[in-house]
Amino acid sequence: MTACPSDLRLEALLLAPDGADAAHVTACPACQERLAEMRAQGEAFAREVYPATVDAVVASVRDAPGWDAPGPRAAPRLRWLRFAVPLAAAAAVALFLLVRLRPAPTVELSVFVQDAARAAPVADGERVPASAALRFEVHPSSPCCLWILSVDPSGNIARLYPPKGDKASEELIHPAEPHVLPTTAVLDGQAGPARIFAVCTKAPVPWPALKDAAAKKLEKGEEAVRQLRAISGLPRGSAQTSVLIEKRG
Amino acid sequence: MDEQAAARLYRTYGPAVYRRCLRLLRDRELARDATQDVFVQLLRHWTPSTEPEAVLHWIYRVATNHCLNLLRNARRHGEQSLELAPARAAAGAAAEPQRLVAQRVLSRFDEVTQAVAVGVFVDGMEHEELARALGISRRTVSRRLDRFVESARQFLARGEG
Repeated sequence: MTACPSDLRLEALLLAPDGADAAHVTACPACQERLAEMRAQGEAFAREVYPATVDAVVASVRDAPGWDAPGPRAAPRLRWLRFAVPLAAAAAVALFLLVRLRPAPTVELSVFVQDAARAAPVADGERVPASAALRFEVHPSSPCCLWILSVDPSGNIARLYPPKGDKASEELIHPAEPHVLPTTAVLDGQAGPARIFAVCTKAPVPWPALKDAAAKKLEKGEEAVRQLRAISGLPRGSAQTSVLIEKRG
Repeated sequence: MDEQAAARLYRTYGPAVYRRCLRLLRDRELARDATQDVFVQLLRHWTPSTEPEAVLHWIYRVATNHCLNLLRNARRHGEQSLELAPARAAAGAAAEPQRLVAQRVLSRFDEVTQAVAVGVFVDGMEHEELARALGISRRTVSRRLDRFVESARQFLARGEG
């Protein structure tokens, strides 16, 4: 008898019961037992998890770019041929530029307000409860070490992620995918603007050094926070971005 | 995609995400929250042409990384409730202290190495299947695994933990 399939292959079998491992599972009591256990967990998902989370799952992506896009477009036929030559030329130029000019690293930051039922995305400049619990998603263009911090009108600089320790988070991997950070930051309850920065550096930067850099050219006042766009003095090759929130009392 | 289609996808693939999270986190509430987080990411990256096998690989990779992050974060904050444990442990396998040692050893490595070690030692996957699921080469799986085993051996020999 062949080796027992992994859970991943059993997942495929649950989606397509006559899949490649069906014969093995039919003859293997251990796999049948595992499959029954997985089915029971799937039923628990349908009974307990799905009803409690489906609204939040759908709502959290409702405002995402492209969400309202219409259904699949009709496949273009031969019209593409008209564009083939200019496209080829453009591709050659793009390839040349790609080779010659390595793009600067970037990082994208999404902020969510978390309540008991859902995590709702926050747009730049949006009003949020002053004591809201926030969650974060980052999407770096290349592996990097990450800090999330906030700046308020009094000039306070607060670290939000990682919540503890002096070093930035270890390298993020799979930069092609966004990372939902395993942390929740609760706001201080004070009304007014706050700017939340995501800072990605090639090597770990200790928190005191980053805080000093952020404080160097920081101006106090609500308007200064709203206008603030970047932290100066970061190491070469760093990426940063920010989201403004308006805390309401 | 409309909301009904998103809900339909969640019904189809949500159980796979939940099972993966439950297997690693061993806690139903944590697994429920993690499932929600992972699935939000899945919907954002969804393309109608994606094959089911590719979706399952994506779920395996992203859910594993997400749950290992939660485990690592909990350990950093001194929470003792999250422990990595093989779900299909045979009778007499991994006793509690051994599991804790395994968790401590694992937490010393980067995400890719952790995912490789979990795939091989917890999920019992073949290198080739694991490489496909994680989107890395088979050689990388072998290299990371060798490094993990060697470092773990040194770590345990020093009696750290």
